[in-house]
Amino acid sequence: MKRIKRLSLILLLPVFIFSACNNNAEKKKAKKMAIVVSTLNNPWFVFLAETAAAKAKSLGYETKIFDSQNNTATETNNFENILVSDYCAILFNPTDANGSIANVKKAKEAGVPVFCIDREINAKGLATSQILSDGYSGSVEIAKYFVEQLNKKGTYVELLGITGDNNTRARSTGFHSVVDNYPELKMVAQQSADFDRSKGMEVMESMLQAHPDITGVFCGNDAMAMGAYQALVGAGKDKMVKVFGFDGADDAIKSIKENKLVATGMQFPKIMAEKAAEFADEYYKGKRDFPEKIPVAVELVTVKNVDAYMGFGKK
Amino acid sequence: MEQTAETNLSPVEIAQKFWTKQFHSYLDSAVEINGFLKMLKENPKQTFEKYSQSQGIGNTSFFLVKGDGVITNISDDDVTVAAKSNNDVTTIKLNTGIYFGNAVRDVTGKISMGDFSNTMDFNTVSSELNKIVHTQIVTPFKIKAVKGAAIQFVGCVEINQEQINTDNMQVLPVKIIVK
Repeated sequence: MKRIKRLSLILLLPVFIFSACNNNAEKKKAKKMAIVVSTLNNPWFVFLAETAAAKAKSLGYETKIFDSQNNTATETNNFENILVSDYCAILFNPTDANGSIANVKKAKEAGVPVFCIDREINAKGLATSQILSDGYSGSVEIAKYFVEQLNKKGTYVELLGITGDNNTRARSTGFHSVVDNYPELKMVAQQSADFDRSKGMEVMESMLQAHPDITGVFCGNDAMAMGAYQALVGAGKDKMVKVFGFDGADDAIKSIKENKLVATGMQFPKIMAEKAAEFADEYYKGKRDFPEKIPVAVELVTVKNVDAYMGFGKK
Repeated sequence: MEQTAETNLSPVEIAQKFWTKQFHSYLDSAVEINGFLKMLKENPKQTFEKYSQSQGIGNTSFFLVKGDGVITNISDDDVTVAAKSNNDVTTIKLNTGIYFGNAVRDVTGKISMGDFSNTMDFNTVSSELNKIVHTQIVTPFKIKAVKGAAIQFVGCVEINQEQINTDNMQVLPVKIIVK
């Protein structure tokens, strides 16, 4: 009889272990949200991260912001720290559409939901939801205005964002889907300035030496546009060359009001960041059915309608 | 558009398949243009709820409209039509220039960003559908269009919910019969 009891215990042991593991996986995590942002070296992303944190706090969560410094290795370290620190959700602005997939996969395996903000990852079924700026359509609107402002002719240059980032590709492709239909508008140079203001200035300075007669610049974000504008002021060409940005950053909106930058695409970081925090809160409370990807519209801001806007959104 | 996620079709093939196999079955749901404008004026909220399609978060929505009318003017990028219904007449402009928006992709509500692992593919579907409309609908229509001709049309309308402006409404034609 004792042997039978012992045998039963041995046979049932894996069931107990499995059951314990299962309970552990389903254990309610702490009310802590991690906000992982691609960079804090750009005011737009600072606003995005701080808005997400503020919303999460208002919903009753502790928060911590992690800066990936535009580096997927740093991002991976951030995820490793988060996944051993009992966070219940990650509000995530990825560094690289492909390079960030592995981090989201690890989080999913650890039972931590990830909500992507602004930038996407090129994968389905890993992030719980992705709330993304519709950069392609926004750039189409900017490009239509660009064509009008340059009277469908002349030479121009393009400053691209970080290579490999889907937003870089979406904005550039959207822009060219319009501008390339006008054969008298010729792009004479295209170079990455990594979404960075100082690099934008450096790249613009060098482009101006090779192409002094350009009449337009399209930049993949406002930081590069502000840097490019600074370079044009330094070269005494700011009145001849029209600069177009993308983001709707505070200094870009002020610059449009002062007739310096010609236009930008207003993204809505507040809407995206707050929606991600709300989704994470709903997930914590038990909801599991979220739209895989949600585009957030981008609006064209010019001197004609700039009074309706402020940095990072509408008044 | 669930099948897009399960197949290995390229965005261009997805657009072609959607246009040839699915898109036209939605044209019957188009709203008559005069009645549509009346509803929009009287009860915009209900009109948007009942007839519009849109993607995600934003103010832009798309409607499918239809009408009968007479061509009153032809210019490089549009054809002006006096659209008649009973005693109502509305002047609209059929867009015959290059179209750059997402009306054709989004007006049925059947293609969603979530169907695509890469958003660029989703955008390519839109630009490909625009090319198809330009080649198969707009270009042949421009050849046949003459002032005074009677036409039947179905088209897409893009309206910003915050700034509803129906003056000289632009309609992107997706089906036209010149009588």
